[in-house]
Amino acid sequence: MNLQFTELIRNRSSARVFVIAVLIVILVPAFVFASFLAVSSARLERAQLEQNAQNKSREVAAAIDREVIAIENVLVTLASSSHLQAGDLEAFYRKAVNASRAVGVVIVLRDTQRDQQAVNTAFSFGTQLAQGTRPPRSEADEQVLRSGKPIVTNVYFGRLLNEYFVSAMVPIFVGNDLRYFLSAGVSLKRFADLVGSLSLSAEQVVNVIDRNGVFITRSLDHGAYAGKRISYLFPPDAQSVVRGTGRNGIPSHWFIRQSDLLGWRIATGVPNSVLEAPMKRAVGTLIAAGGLLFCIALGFGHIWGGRLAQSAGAFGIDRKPTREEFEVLFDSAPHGVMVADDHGRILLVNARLAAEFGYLRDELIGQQVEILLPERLRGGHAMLRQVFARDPQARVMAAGRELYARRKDGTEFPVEIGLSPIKPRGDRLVMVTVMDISARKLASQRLLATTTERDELRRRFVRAQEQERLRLAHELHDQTGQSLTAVMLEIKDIEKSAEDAHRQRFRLLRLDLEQIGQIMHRIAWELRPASIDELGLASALANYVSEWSMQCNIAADFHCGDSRIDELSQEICTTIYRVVQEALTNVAKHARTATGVSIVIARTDGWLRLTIEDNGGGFDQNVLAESKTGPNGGLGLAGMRERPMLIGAEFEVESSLGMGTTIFARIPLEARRAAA
Amino acid sequence: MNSKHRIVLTDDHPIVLSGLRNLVQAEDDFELVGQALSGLAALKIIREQLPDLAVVDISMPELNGILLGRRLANEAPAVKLLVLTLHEDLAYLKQALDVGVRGYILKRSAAENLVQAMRSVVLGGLYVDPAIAHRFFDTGAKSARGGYSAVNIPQLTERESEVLKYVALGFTNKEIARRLDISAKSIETYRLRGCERLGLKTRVELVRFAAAEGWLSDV
Repeated sequence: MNLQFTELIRNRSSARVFVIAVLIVILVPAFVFASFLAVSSARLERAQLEQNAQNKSREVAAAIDREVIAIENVLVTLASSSHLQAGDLEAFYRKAVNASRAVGVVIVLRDTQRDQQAVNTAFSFGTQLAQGTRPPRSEADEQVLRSGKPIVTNVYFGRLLNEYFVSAMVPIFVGNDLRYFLSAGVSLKRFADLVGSLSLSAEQVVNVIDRNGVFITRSLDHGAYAGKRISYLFPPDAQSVVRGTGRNGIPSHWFIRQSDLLGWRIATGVPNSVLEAPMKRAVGTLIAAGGLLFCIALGFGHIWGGRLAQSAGAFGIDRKPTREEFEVLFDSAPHGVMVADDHGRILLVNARLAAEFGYLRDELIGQQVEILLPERLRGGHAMLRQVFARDPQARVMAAGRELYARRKDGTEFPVEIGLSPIKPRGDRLVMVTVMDISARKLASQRLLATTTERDELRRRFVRAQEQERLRLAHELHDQTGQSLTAVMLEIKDIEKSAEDAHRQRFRLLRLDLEQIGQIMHRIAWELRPASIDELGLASALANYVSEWSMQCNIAADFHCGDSRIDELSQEICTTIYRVVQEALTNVAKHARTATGVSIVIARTDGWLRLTIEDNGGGFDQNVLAESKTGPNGGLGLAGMRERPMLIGAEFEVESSLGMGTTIFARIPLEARRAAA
Repeated sequence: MNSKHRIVLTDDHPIVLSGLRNLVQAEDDFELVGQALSGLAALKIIREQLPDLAVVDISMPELNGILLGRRLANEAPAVKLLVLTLHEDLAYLKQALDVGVRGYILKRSAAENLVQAMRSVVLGGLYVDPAIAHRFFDTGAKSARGGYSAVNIPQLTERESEVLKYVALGFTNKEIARRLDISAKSIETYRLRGCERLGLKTRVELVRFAAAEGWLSDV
């Protein structure tokens, strides 16, 4: 039962492991492939983000270039005005104001010789503009201007308007002299607006930086950055990617593009967190999804594997029978089977049981189990049932006693009943197996009768044999022996008075008769020594043993420790004598290496113990047991067993190779026999 | 003093008795003073006559030769007894000698040797039929050996003496093993060791030792 149970568990778990392994083998490659796809797509997404940032930089650069070119065009148009050549600054002022309004810049005309502003469209004509800021120009800018080409300055602070500016500037020659610089001061706010007008995505930050590394504008928080110097240097390449942490402390990637026209750098920043987000998301999703999948697989494998083991059975051992199979099993059981509840009501009965008791199945269902008992036992049974209900354990009912059941027609028959408690859904039920043992009982009774009869016959046979031997021995010894003696004495008498010639013949005749007497004595003694009866068993045995010892030349010693041995019945005495006789015959025949034999008779607590021990080669008891009727003495042992058995004695032989053989006979004495 | 030896003959077989009578009467120095066909009759006649020699059989009705001898040893010790018997068992011879019989002759050699045997015994000798005499003295020599010195009993372990005790009582190894809760193989070992220490070779020696030690009485 236990064994089957562990087997079942082992099978179930092996099925589980198997199913889980299969699932894992399927899932792992799928998971690896999914990871590959997710990581690729995350990389693609990041590349897209980077591309967008680069595009944005280019777009901003292009927009600024266009703006600046437009302003320069306005300046070039103004510079070619005839008013300047004519020196009519006032007319020029009016024209410039119009242009400045149209373009939205501050136009300043600076006199190079006096190095001061001649016209400023931010102010009315004629206003003293002594402290006007001179836009910063490098040496290179100066040369470009002298060659008559426009420049765009870096960021500077316009003191008059109290604001940061970038100026586009064109030289104006009067004759061959560089007489004026016409500049358009573009407020940095204008670039901020420009950048703002381009649609930036939320994560992008665009910085526009002049050639000196000063912020022109920043798409976020323009006011705080404009005019400030950047805190790090850009590489000189026209297009590059820089990693760094901005003033706001957010680590970012900067995608930088340099404007060909202005030499300004447009840097579009994307925070690292945004760039790394797709990969993080993908890995996170993978871990979460993978873990979930694994757990589901494990759970699924556990349940399904267990169910698989149950329904299919890993190797068909632990499969539960289906309902139909169960019914067949139940009905085809070779014995009556029924199920009763703990109130003794019959719930289920198989066909066999109903037939055995002579009922229809429906007649039994719902009845008390006592209906199946003889009336005289019903009362007691109800009580026994309660005892069983208190401690239900599988067992055979009333083991060792005879149980009877009652058929519908009132007849009784002997049964053996097995009880097994079962517990479906908390109900306490008992499965009862009823076995009709009439046939078995009858057979055992017959066997017992036959055995008893056979033993009695054997006993009678042995007794008859002994009596016959006794009679023969007596006849030979006493009757014939005496007659022979008488004849010899008679011949002796005649011999004395006979002639010499006949005397010798009489003597020879006498010697022949003497020989016959000796032979007859020998035969009689072997048949049954009269000494058992006349001198007692101990003397007879002692004599027999010493005779045997001389004849076989094996030392033999006899000890009788029972002072009351002569009180034994003739049957017991004869049995003991015969057992010793047979044992010694066996020793002479089989125990070739024996040099000593001990025969001991002792009386202990109601038993007479006869022990015959030799120191010969012994034998393997297992081998002997296999060949009981073998030529080598098996029969001798069987013969020896026979006699003690008939007087109720126990007979035992102990032997092992090299240790000699010991024969034990334990004979129950009268008192014990009577009691037994 | 009567020079003739007074003889009583006893045998339960009338023809044998008459044969014996012929044999005795043929001798001049023997005087037959009585004869009997049974043990009790023999006892009666011997008591009355107190002969020099009584020839008796062992197997006799009413009172056998051995018991007769035992009674006569008390009641008429002067009467010498010669057993004339069919029994060749040494057991009879031993028993007969034990009760004081002075001669033992087999019936088959009676015709030849009875008279000679009677003369030997009546003259104070001891006669044992030559046909069994040699066996008697052979075993006599044999049974003289053995014996152990009770003075120097070596110490046995408790287990050894327990085992030897049960062996002496005739228990099988299996029974002993069950009682002492050790294996049958160990029993053999304990027994061998114990017997070696005591210098005992056979079971009979062991039993006699045990009896002398008083081991057998407490069961």
